[in-house]
Amino acid sequence: MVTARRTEGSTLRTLVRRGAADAIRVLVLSGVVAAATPAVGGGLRYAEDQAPGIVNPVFTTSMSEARLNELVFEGLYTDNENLASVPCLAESSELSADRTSLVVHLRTDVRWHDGTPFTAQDVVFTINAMKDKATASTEKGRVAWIKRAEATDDATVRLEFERPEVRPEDKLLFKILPAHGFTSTAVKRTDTFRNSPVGTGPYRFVRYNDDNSITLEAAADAHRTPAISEIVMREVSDKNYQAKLLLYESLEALVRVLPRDLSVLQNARKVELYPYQTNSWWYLGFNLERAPFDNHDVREAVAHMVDVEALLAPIGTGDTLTGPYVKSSPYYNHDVPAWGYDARTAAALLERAGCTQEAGKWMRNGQPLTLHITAHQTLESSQEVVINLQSQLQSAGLDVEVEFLDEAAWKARVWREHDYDVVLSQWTFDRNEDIRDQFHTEGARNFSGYSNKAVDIVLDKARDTTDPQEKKAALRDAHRMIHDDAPMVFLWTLDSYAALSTRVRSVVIHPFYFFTFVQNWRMD
Amino acid sequence: MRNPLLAVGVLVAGGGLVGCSAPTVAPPAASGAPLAGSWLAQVVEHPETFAALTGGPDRPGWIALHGNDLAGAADAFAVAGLNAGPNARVGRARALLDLSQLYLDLARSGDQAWLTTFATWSERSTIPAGSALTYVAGLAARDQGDAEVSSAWFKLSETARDPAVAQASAALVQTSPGAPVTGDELPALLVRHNAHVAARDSGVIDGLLAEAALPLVQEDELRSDGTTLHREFYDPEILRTLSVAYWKQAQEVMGGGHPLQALITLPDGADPMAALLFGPVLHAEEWSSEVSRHTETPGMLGASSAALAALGLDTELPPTDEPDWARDQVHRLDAVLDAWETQVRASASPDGLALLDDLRLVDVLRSRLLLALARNAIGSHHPWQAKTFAQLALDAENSRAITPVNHPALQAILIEAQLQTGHTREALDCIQPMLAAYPAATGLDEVLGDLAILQGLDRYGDSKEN
Repeated sequence: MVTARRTEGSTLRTLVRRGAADAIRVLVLSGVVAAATPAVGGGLRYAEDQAPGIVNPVFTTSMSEARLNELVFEGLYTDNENLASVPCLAESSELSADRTSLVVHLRTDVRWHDGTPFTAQDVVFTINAMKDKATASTEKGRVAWIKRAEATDDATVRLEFERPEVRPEDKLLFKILPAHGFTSTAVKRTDTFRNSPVGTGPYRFVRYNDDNSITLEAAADAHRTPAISEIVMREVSDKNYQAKLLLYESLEALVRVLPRDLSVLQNARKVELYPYQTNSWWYLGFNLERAPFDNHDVREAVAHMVDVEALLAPIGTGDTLTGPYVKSSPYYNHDVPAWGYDARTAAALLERAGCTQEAGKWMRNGQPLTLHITAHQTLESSQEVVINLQSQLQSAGLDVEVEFLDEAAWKARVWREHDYDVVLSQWTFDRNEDIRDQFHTEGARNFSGYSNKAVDIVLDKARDTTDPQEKKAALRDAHRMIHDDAPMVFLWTLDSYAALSTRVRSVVIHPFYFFTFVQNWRMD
Repeated sequence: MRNPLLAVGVLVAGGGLVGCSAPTVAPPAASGAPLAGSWLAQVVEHPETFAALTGGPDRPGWIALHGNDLAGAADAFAVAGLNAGPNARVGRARALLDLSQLYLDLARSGDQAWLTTFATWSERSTIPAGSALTYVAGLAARDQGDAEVSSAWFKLSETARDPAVAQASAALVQTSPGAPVTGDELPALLVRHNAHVAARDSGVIDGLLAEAALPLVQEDELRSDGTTLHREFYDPEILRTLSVAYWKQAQEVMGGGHPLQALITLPDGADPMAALLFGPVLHAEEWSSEVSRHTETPGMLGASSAALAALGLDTELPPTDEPDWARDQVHRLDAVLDAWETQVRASASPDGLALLDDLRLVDVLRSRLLLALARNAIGSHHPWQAKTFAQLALDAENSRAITPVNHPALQAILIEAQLQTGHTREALDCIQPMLAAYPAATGLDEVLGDLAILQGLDRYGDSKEN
């Protein structure tokens, strides 16, 4: 049975907000809101399936958070439109002759959104906060290569590296936090900063609204003047309505269009589609620390019970996958076969794992073999996929229970407490497609408990080598080994399109962070 | 009367066939008048003439051409061999010219990809000692006419582990571009090179095509950690060879003369629509003026067609490479197409409308016109505009597939535009849909993969949920 379940997020406030949002949705669809509340003058409203759980770059785990960070915060360097690293909060930098340290000269004309001058202390604080074990930052890997950070004056930072670097500025894209916003480098998710985040980015945080939306306003200063005066992040949890809201001009942007909406949107003359590359893939991930999913035979049996093509068909077009890369990736190993739907092999594997079949139901230790699927509420089309998956697995003789978690509950249950059997979720990667965080024993995003020394070795080799073919070969090996271990059932990748009103001009979308070039966008 | 091609749409698009949506209101200034008398108007207004052209023995060829299955079309039209009718000859020549142009598009990306990759590799990392990589780099430079760079790479190949590589490099340094290497018992690399020279001369590519997806060189390298690294390098000459060879084949089909000129004059008995159907040129007169500008190679054929001007589109690009300019051009085109469609839906016969919907003819024409604009932009060094045109031409619902709307050259232009704008990883996304039908692009895929890796070596890979 499908049940909606909330834990941490089930506050009265949230429910009130949701009620309001639902009411607005009904009104919008009946044409009332579109008529009553015309588009904000010069403002851009974009939709997220769920509001970011937290606005603090050191705890970013979801794409909605990463997108908001891109609006509010900045790094020392950033990507330009040709995806080359260029100075942002930095003005220039000098790499030492032995390539083990870098002196970064900072801009002196930058102020935090609360008016405090940006200084080298902020950079040192951010690096130390991310490295501080008490922070438990999900982004700690981004500074692991920095041995020490020191402010030599207000406008200069000296970074010492763990080993020689060739282009360290390429790694200095992480967002900088204001030191004065925190009491120590042991940053906590519950710090008051989350209620009033302060950055140096093109948009200043203004407020959380009752309908779960977030209002930002342009932060014009000496180093930039965004052309769009206001941006509102609107939570539209039912993705089926997002395209309609765009067509009814109650939104100006959708960051990701449901495949089934592409046909309507590409024929709408007031809307433009923008394809952008995201290396995203869906998966069904097992908790390898929990029986019976610590048993390879059980995992592989489940993989054989899933008809991936049939699950994909109702939600759109995409490529089915056999491992942790999309098919266009240089690391995708095209020689790895899919497990494939195969009831007979699944049965043999379950029997080998000690399971028995009684009246069409699989039993283990005298109890029905039960699969508890936890899905992320923000995952597009997840309900449709879960219902069909539930049906497939029940037909194969498993008991299946399903729950949907909101962002806060997901982070608590899945990331921190590892309290789940199987998750349905999606990973999105930037163009480096680095899966080390997910599959290395020490990976910061490896919440499944996956550990294989041989995989660790090839992931380390891939990280260390500068030979592209060696890296390619190592990661194609990793693909094969990870597939064979079956810590996940790799499902598919979907096409990624954003949709924007034709009123929004000069749009260039960053393939991962989306809003990187937003300061150049304008509205007619 | 039901047209024999009415089922074609269902046949080629399977379950995903979508009829044209009701047009939205066009801006008042837009008029469908420029489409009067075009092949599109003729098909809808006179479906019987369309049936006469496509309903006979050449039907499989027209189905394949409509589906942008270019090799399939060339083969299907060739079934009748020397006895093929004039329309089949025209159809086959068009498919071959499209193939030639497609491979030329890919070859331009190859030119940039191979040399950028090898240069970046030597700058950012260490070129593997003794590897045949240097030979392949020399070959790539030679193929694009850069004798100096080519010689420098070949010089490095003198120390290759494989003596045959050193021998081939030395021989090519001594041989004029475009000439075969002579001598007895040539190493396989030189035999292959000579096959390219022969194919470019004769148009015969069977042997090369069969090996197009296979590496040119494979080598095993013992690494310092005791493991063996298997390296593969692909043939950088293949894309340009295929372009030239298909051009030669088109020439032969049209009787040995200039194939484009022959398409204007048309063989005796050919239907003028055979030269236009499903293409970017609307009227026969535009075809002749277009061809007069492109007499040597297919090159940018269609890009500056008078048809574009008639449709109110600018054939001169602005000085800056602003994507919004391209978007505005597409809006203008859509307004004209919408206006025409509104008009024709009120007057066309049921058969004409069925053809319009089942074959998605407006979308097909729109896509081919945008491809022409994309080629124009990329040829004018405006990659952002080229990218915009090509992306807006693709059918988003099936963007991974080659379909009647998604011409393979759209992906080829996107590869080049992505590469020129620093989006190397995205270029790989564009190759992927082509590999099944165009396995010769495998080498380009692999080398672009190497380049994407090299460009990201110093980056921290980021990942997030959802």
